[in-house]
Amino acid sequence: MDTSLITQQNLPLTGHLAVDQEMLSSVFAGCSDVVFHTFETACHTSALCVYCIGLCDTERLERQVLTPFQEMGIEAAQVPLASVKSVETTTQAVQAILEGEALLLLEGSMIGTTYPLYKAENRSTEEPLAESTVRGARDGFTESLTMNMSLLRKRLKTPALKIHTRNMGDRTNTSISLVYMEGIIDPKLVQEVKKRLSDLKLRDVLESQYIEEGIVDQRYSPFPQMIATERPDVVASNLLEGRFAILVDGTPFTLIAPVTIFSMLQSPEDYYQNVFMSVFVRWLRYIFFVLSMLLPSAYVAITTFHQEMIPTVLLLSIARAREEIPFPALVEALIMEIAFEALREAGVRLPKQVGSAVSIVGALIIGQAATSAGIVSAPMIIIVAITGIASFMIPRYAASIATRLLRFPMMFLAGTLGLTGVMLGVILVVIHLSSLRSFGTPYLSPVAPTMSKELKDVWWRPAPRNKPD
Amino acid sequence: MYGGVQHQGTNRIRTIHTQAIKGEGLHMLTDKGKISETQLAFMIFPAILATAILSVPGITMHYAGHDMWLSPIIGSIIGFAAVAISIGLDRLYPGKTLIQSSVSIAGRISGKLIGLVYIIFLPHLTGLIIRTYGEFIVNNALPRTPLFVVMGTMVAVCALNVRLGIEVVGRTSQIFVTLLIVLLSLIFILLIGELNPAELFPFMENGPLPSIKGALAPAAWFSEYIVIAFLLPYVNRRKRTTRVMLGSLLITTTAMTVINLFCLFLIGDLTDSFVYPVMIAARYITIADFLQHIESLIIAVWIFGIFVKISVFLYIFATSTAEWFGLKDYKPVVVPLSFLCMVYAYWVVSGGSGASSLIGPSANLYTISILLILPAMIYGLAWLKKGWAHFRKNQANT
Repeated sequence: MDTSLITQQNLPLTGHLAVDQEMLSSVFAGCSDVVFHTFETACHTSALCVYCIGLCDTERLERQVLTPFQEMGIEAAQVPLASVKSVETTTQAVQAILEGEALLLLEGSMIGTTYPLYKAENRSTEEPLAESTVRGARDGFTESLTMNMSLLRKRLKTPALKIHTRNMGDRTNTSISLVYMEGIIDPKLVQEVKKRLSDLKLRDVLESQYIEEGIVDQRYSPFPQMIATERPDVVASNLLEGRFAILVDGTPFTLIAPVTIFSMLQSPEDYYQNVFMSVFVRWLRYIFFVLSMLLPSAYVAITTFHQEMIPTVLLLSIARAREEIPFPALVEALIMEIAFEALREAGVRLPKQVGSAVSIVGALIIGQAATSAGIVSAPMIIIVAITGIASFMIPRYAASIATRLLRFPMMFLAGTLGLTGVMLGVILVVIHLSSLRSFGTPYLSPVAPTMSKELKDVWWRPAPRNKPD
Repeated sequence: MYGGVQHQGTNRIRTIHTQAIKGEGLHMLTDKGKISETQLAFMIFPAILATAILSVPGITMHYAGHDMWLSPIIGSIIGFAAVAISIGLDRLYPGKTLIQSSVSIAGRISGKLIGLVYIIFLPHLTGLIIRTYGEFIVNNALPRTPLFVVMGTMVAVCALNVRLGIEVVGRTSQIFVTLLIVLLSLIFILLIGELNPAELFPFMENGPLPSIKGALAPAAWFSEYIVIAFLLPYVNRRKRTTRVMLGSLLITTTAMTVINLFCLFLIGDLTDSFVYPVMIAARYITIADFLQHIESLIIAVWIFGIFVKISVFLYIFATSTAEWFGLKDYKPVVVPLSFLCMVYAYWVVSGGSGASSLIGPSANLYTISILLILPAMIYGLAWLKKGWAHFRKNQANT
């Protein structure tokens, strides 16, 4: 009660050490990591230093602030440290302490001084686990916002790279940064994002998904309208294409928008390798993207409704495999798909050492035993396996979620209306994609609506842009 | 909603456009979206061909015999007339659909009566298209599924598409028509080896008359080009409209002629004995003696086309109705009107004879008279009015 009163009222510092200490310690009552250190300077003024143990580098504090004060009697502003700031109110003081700065108050002075002595306690950059690459940069974002910003700045050494940082979340007070390249991005887009960010009222921000859900155009869509990536080179390449990024403190996952379905299926690595290889891989991805959504339903539809489409020899072997199976194809497909999704989810959650056990169980029990027990047919296992591999081919994890989810309604449509049903499902998905926009950009552009200039980036991989003459 | 970089142009045009229309008060468009000329062309292609591909080869064969491939070319004159009338009306009354401009041309009461004709005719036509779809699917793919389920699911999907506005209709047609053209061309290329061009002869055995008679059916389909008159106000970037529309007419005519030629070369004289000759033609396809009977694949691709066709006509029906009643937004009427079209799909066909029996010469004349002759009369009236005004002005000056 009292605490919130002081922070809310934004009281000015009084200059009486005892009063100020009283105010601050009532705010930090019960926070054992906040230290109040009273001492006397060389000029015989009493002084108070407040800092947070875990966040503030105590060694440097002693060496660079406390010792000079106690022994040499210097002025508060004379401490040789970069970005020393002064605070005049309790709110500012509390904020500074929570961000890891050390606050110094002197008796008789109504202005406090803060010293940025953050302790850099972070893991170092590692290769991102979820997005590995054969060729290309191997550093990944970390949980520290400042480090992430530096990773970006290292790649884009230009003042055109703008970074706007603000705090979000009433309780978590998380720093987030809006990053874009001035001169490349549409200024209206920046305005719109800033507006959406200010309109967003969040209590907590623990991960970038919190932000994403608040600012996208259409929350209820299986298709992601922002890319989340751990790789600085992905962010840099997207910034150069006129997109913006949102970095969130405390998570390595950075958001990028606006995106289209095609940017989900492209990867900056396409530019790191031979043109023909990239084009080949792009088309492979398009095909497998469609397969990952439609393959099980196509199998169900064809084996249930349109057997005449299957070549006779193949039909015979499928019929032989399915002879002993007690379920209709739809049920069989559902069982296998759900089992596959369960295995996949279990594999993600388990520690690495146990993870291999899951794959053994999956391969042996589900694959081998279920077939020989006559519960599932072998062709079905092949279909599920291809579908699984197809969904791993999509470079953006979030985009594969859509196909994984949509696979199930598609199977139901296939089981009830055959290929007609599958086509109706496809039409529904395309209708949804046509109406979807990511920050104003139609999700199916540049194909529909057509933008002939950008179209080449869809069916071919254009050369890296040359400097204009 | 915020428009991205590429939409600035659209937005600007839209603002200017709405300003221009505001002066007229009543004649607001009921949809704020905009499409491009190319998207319009993409919408029209299946709007003509999706059902034509089923019936036209059989009907033209019946009347024109071996010269049946000439009939679409002759019929395309009607298409040219429909395009000319639509673009002419749009030049005289820019930013107005046929329903709106007929009020300006013929006066309030008679203009509304003309509009009423369309509002009564459109569910008729849409119902017939839905029925054609339903019967085709039930006959060829899902023999044991009730007709109601087949038609109902499609109409529901189309209604959703239409409700999301012309931009979404334009984009979905762009995607599907591209797929449709690529896959159908592929199928036709696979068929080339089976063709027997000798079927072309004897050429003009009975003079040109049979092929002209046979042109009546394609002409009825080509008269559907009048949909442009309903959709042109939604088109932005209007620099090449005439060229794009004539290009579209050329492509549609070529496609229809090619389809007729393929049926002729593959099946010959028997073409008119099948209800769906193209499906019979598709049975000839074998890829490396392995893939056979891919008719289902053709049906699947064709569903994309019929989806665009139903959506286009449902959209025109919904917007026309909304305009006729002076509504600001057409979206609330989409679902009830779709249901009405579903009901019409049962009403248009009496008894068990099926939709194919309905596409006879009288039905073709009925379609042509409403989709071509009535708009032609409106256009003529518009010119008379303009000439009269000019004449009066000249008299007043002298």
